[in-house]
Amino acid sequence: MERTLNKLNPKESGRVKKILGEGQLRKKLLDMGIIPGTTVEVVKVAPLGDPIDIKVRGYHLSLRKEEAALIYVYVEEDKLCLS
Amino acid sequence: MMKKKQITIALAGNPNSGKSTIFNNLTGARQHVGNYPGVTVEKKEGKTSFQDYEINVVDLPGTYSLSPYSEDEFVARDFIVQEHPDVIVSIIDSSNLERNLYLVTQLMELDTPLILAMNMSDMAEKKGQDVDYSELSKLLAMLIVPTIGNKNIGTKELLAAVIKTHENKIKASKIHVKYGPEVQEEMCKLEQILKKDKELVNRYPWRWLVIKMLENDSSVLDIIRNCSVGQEATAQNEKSRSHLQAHFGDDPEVIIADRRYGFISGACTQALKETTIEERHDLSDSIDRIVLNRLFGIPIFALVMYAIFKFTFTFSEPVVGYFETFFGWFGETVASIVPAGLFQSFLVDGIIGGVGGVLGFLPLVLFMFFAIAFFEDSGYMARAAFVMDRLMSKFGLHGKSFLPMMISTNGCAIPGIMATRTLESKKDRLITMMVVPFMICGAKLPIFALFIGAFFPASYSTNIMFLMYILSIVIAFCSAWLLKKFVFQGEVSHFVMELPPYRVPTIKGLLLKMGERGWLYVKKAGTIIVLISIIIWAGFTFPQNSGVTKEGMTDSEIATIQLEQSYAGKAGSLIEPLVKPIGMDGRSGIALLAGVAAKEVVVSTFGTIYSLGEVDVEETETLREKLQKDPSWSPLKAMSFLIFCLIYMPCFVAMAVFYEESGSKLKWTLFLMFWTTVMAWSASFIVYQGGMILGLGI
Repeated sequence: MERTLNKLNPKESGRVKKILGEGQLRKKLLDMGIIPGTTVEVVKVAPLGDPIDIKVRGYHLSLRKEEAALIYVYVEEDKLCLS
Repeated sequence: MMKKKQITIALAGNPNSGKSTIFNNLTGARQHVGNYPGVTVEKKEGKTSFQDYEINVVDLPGTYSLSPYSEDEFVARDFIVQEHPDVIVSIIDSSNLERNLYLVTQLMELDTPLILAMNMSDMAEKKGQDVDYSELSKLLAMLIVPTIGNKNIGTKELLAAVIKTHENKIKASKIHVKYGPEVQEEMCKLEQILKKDKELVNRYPWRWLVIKMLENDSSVLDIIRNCSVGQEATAQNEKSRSHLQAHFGDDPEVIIADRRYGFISGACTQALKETTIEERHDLSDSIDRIVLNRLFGIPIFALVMYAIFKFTFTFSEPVVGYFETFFGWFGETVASIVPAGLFQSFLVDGIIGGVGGVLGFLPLVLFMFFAIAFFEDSGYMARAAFVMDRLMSKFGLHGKSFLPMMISTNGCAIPGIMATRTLESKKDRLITMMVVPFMICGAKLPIFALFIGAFFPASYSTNIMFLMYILSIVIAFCSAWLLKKFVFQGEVSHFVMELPPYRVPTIKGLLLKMGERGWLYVKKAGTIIVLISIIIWAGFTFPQNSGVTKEGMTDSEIATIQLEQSYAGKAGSLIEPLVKPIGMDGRSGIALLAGVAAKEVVVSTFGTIYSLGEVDVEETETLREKLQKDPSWSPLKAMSFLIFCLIYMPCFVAMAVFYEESGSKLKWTLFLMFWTTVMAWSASFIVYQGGMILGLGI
């Protein structure tokens, strides 16, 4: 099952399947290393519920849930779906 | 003596890669900060000598990619691509190799010789990373120097590598990321078209242009559209993009990013010996567990803001005092040397008074810059933005907008406006700059103290003051919301921000940062301020009192006559019809007008008007009684006046800084003046007329 990144709970991780949206934001996300196949882990949610802190390629990146909603991921326990 | 050979090198790298530290190591004190033309981005340059070379070092703003998103990144991109430095030194954080090397793969697409400084190599080693430098150097076809910036290790070796690269003309272009035959084929097609425009390919490296076109980089597409083969190239690019899209089932930019990261992980697999990088929680993660905690996150944020505030205003207070004493003494000394008269008044009241006013803020500004630099360099600022973004973004602001507003409250809008530099999006930054002046700054406080004391019962005064603070915040947030809704409609803001690892800032780095920002403040504000203080002085001084003074008149009576006859006084009576509907007369008009010079001047102008001569803003006791006795005032009028003072146009110094910081945009400066004043008038109108209808106008 695939979910959007904003739906993941802290400590859950998944592999990026696709990134929606367009233009500069999408390119920025790619440049920051979020591309299909990358493993991302949600580390934390900000005290007020938004934005979120994710770990990607060994560093921490924060994004708003609105932006995280553009990123579709396979969650680890759904690994079977990859085939 | 042989003349030294001159070369220019550029330092490029991700934010938080320790680039500034390397720059400071390379250049020491031989650096200066200027501005890139047309933008507010600082241009840091320095010089160093090595062997028989005089090396000009340019420190570029940090960037993650050669596709620019913020003003900073545009500047970095343009310099790298257009200015053709002799060597680019790419500085990377070795403990975060993958993402840092991403920029390097793009730099490799240029024709400029490139070397790699693997900074923070000690941190990486501690993490268990063991790099085979010679292998990596072969794979990337460039010299690699491990450095430890904060210990000044590797600086000499870096310079030696620069010279070696320059002399051997090692071209980085020997190795490129392999994008695969399909992409390669489309690149060839575009290349053939672009190469017809000789001027274009002389100016920009063609390979870089072609890849950025396929990546759909809007700024490069603009460049292409305006060149002589624009139409053909754009049409071919659209064809190529849709061809690749069909072939891969994904956009070319995704494929290109994927290939770059693929290249990096390939290189890392080969060059990293035995890595034991496990997913262990490092110190940063532990700190974040407390700092970003659901319960403690916001209290800690409040505490940090309070600390910056306290540090800035408490510690700078004595120094500000010395500065005031000095300018007071200086003014007196000049007055005692220069004979009394117009020229003396020009020097003392006009120039020394004006410049002293600006320089008086300098210690405060320096302390604030130091405190901010500390939290920036330590990595906390990114966390503060992370914690506050939810609340701020609801109103069209950004997580990072909080700090400038905080600095302005009880403090000063000038450092507040300057602190908006950390905001990336133009929209977020302009909105923040426009609402910062609404906060109750230190100069507005005396006005509130005077009027609340004069017209409201003492038992209410604290509550009314508190109400004013609340009102200022409400107005700032509502304005931000309105600006977002109507003025910056459709402009988007994103929050894609790295949370860098916590680091201990170096004192040298903090002092240099404070010094360079402080100097810019003096230079920018200073020049404009001298001009404006002369204009204001002239407004109150001319035309000169035409000798109607009678025998036995007190100094303050003469001052009153002078005030009425001056241009400023006449302007006051001119605007009387405008301020009537909000319950004010010409005298309040003059005070408000004068308050544009500096808000505390409102009080001293009332002092002059009520024939008190020089009024010390600290002691408003007698002036308060005069106001109370004046039958033309009422609590309702006072309230209307205060609300006007709270909202109307920022002081000239703040506007001068706003002008500079908005990128010398007269349009926005005029908009700010108009918008704040119209809003102030409307709010006062509602309060005054509403109060009259409710019968509160007694």
